[in-house]
Amino acid sequence: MRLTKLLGLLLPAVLLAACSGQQETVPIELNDLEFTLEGPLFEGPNQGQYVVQVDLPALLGADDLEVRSARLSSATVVPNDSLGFANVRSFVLSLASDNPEVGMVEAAFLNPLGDAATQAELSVSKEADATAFFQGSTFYLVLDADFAADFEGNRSFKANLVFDVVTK
Amino acid sequence: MFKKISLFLAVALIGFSQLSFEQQADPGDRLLGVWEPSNGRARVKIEKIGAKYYGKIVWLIEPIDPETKLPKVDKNNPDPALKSVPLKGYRMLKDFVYSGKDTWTEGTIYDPLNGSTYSCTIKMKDANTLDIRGYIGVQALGRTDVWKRLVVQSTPKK
Repeated sequence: MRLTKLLGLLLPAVLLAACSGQQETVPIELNDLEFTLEGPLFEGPNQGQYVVQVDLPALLGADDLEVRSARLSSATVVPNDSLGFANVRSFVLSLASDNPEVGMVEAAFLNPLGDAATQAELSVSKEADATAFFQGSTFYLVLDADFAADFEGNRSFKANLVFDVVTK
Repeated sequence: MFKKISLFLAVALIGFSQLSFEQQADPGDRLLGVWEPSNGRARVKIEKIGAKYYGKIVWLIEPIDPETKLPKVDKNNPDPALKSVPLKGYRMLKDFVYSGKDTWTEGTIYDPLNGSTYSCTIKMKDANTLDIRGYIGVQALGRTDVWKRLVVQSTPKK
């Protein structure tokens, strides 16, 4: 009787483990992403975009893996021109998709940016779910920089991002 | 006679190229620009990211928080991590798709006064007037606000 009870408890657990397969968290690094904010730039928020082509076999190093979940775990922005962070008050990084089923999410931000900053470590939102973006073929990274003054030319920044992607 | 034919051909070619350009332009792009809600307390710039339309706050009548004496932040955001994001620059309109007949659908509108997000449709009544309808669930349960287009004439300084 006790053996039957034990089997009754163990069997569903074994079946569940067998069906669920092995999940693995893989850090995906996207480095040196260039964001050009095209002038004329006005005082206030201005945006630059970067198009990410999702090539999962190349990103994950395997053909047969599927993305179960994905979250941004770190985001760093550095200047990509001689102007540095001059007149930049804050950064917001968002993810967007052409898929009508996938809404934009704000993934990270830094406000305010320190006066003497040479690189910006953005605070990452733990609630920002990036899963759907990695399940499509393309998504957009949008970097908003809030400027304290107008500027006629372009500004350029580079971002280094790490996504924690759970695969199966 | 030859000059007249050349002139006719030139005019015809210009007309054809303009027609081609107009045909290629996305009709949904008429939404792009800076718009002001009926209360006049903010201005929202609508831009395109990929195939969708988004509107961010670019001007506030009261940009400074009277309590903190600092630029207003999105303190009512339900995501605790985003409560310090500047309100100026925040995208309160998100993910609109042009669905024809002067209407943009599938989007949401965010109310920074209470941190709530509502389903939303945009109907262009004329080139400078939008009906913005926010709703929960079905469109019948909602509220419509009229937004007017702004013509921005300022030129950035060096």
